[in-house]
Amino acid sequence: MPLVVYLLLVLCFVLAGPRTVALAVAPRVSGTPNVTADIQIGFGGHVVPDVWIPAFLILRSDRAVTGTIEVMTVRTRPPATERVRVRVHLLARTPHPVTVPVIIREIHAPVAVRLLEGETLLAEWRVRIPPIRLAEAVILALSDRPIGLGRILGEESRTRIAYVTEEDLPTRWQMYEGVRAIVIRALDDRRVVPTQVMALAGWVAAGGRIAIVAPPPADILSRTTLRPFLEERPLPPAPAGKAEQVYPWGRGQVTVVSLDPFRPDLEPETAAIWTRLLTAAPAPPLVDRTLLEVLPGTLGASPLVQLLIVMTLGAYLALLRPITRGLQLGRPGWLLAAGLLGATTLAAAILSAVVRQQSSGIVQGAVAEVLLAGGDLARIDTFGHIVLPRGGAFRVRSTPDTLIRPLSGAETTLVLAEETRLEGRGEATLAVHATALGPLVVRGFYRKSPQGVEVEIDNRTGRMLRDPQIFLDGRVQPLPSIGERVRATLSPFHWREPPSAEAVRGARGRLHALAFSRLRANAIINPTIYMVAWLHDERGVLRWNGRPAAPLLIILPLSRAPGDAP
Amino acid sequence: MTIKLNPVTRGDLRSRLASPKLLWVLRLYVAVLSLLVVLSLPSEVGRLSQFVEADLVQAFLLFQLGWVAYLTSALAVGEIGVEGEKAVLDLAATSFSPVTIALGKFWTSMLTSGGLVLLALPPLVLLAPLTIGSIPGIALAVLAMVVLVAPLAIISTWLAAAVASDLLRPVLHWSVLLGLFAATRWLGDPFVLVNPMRVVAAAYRGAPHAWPLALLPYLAIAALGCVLTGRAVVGWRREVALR
Repeated sequence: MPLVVYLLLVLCFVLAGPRTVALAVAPRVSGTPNVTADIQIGFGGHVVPDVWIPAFLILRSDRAVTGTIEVMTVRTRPPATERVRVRVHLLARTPHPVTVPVIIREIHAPVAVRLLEGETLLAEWRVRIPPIRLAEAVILALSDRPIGLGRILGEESRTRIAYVTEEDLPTRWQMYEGVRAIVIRALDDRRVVPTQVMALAGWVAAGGRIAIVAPPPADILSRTTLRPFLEERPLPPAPAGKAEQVYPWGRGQVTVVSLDPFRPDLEPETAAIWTRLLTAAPAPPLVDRTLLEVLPGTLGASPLVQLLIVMTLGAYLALLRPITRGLQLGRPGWLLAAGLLGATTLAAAILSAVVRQQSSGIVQGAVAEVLLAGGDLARIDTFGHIVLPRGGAFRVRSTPDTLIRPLSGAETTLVLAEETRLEGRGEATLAVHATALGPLVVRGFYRKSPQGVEVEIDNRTGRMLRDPQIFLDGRVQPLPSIGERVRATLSPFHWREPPSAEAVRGARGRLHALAFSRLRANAIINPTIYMVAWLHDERGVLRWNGRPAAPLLIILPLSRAPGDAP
Repeated sequence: MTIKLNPVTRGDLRSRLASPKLLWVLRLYVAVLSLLVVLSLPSEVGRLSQFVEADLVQAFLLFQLGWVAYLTSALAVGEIGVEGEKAVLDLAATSFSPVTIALGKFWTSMLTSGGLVLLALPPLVLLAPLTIGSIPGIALAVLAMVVLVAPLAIISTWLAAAVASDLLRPVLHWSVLLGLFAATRWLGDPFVLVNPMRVVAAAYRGAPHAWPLALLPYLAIAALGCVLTGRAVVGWRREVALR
């Protein structure tokens, strides 16, 4: 009899397929609704560790619930508990899909999913991820024939294929972080909402790759979702002749291939093209966590407090004479000396408390790389240290499209609501990374002439671009601050080497130097002219109550001016 | 209530407190410690995140120990001369007993090192965390500092009495300082704990728990220093009597 039950359970699991990782009914407590959840972690149940991946939930409740879904992951090295919270409004007896961005650090630790109404726990589910679901990367396939792509990658590959539907496409571009490419063979525009399209476009602009399978008559190319990607002229020459056309889109690209990889009789030529497309590494972001190395690990006191400290110590030096003289005058003198020493010590203690109060906060460097000059889209990466010299609670906020991840061990909660908040408790210093895509209306053009390089910057952000510098062939030349528009011819004699990060003082100077070093490394592959400037804009930047937000370092690739011959 | 001080100590302190030179020495001492504190406040120094607050306080205490040890012993050996302060051999010519002279010089050194520690309170408070938990560690560290410096000073006092050569005396004084601070670093475990910097660091951190045992050799040296100083007085008087 137990064997029959076991076989039935196995049969149920097989029939349910890989989509359902957990189907659970919450233990019912009196007064609480009966809630069930269909939970899947990662695309197709495949988990790419240490990156943002989607947790798909379908919730059903027997009564309406306005509450919060919390997904909790843990890791042991370093010990940390990370929660992500999103608001949900469940209608009675209506399936409610929710997608929560999560990061799985250690696959053996179960993922806890909780439904909270206020602070009351309504239901809790624990999801165990089988080790076989661990993947190096995922390739998404939107196809009406969901089979056959795996044979291109081979059995050795640790990249997994996830056959998804339009509904599975995330509404936040960051959740594509573990995705190497998307293969689209069939797409129904009616099942895709604008936020999904924007997330897809943002991900490609940030370095993602889409491969569209378009065998003649290539009807798929007329889909509203895909048409914007194909409006630019394709890159010449196509690597595989007429069978493949590549359309650049920001740092990423969209490739249209007329050969179908889903065909049962896969030809070697088709397999070769698709192997190349599916195994190509995505473009890395311009800045990574090495940015943390140029940031100070602590916050300094304000100049006013520093001045007060110097004045207090100076006054104390002056008081040494009355103190030593007082010690010679008997008891009244001793009292005077003790009073002077005590008063100075008290003043020092007060200043010390002020310094300590000021030393909690965030030190951050934010870099905005303009990806689509025409679409005015920029990727904003902010790396920072949350500095808590005596430990304790913290809260940083950012714009709602931002996702913030802790990079070191701490107890954190990421709240995704009208604004993004990262809350928690930490010891000394917690490194964090925030990433967002947003419109940034700055355009730049250049034209090369015998007199030098002529640049034109059109700034429609409404704020001044400060300390702008033009980067060309590893050298820089400064421009005056830019209000709305500037046109200047750069002298061929005024280019200079940018300073190295070790040679400059201050976090801003070091961040500038880091950006130049990255552009120099990038220039080997992509010899573009860039403008680098500071902009006071809060998008994607982390905010700490009572402290001004850090400025954004904008990196704008300049386009060749219309009519300028290459 | 009156405090009865050893007459030798009273005379020495009166001279030291009235000395303009010593006032400049004190200003230099406080200024250097204050500079260390000011430099540690901006973010540039704190850029090394592993160099956390506790390490800064410890670094301050060790730096202070070096200054207190040098100033106290230099005053005792006469390297920093104070106008009007009587040396051991000058006192030997008076009617004070050798014990009074030796103990008087010892108390002078104790009170000098204690005063130096007290004068550094404002910069120390600026740097140290203002928590109840941090006070015992700091208090024990400065107390240990005074106990460590006094034996060094009384040995220096004896050197001032026993070594006639003005050239040899500073050489021996610096040899004692270097021997204590540098040479003891090469001792093996557990003897390395007698290094004064290790003792102060252990007192501040509270580990190893047995750190007070490391003070015993210093107390023995202090006793030896007092005996040697007293014997130097007796020897000088005998020599004068024989003439």
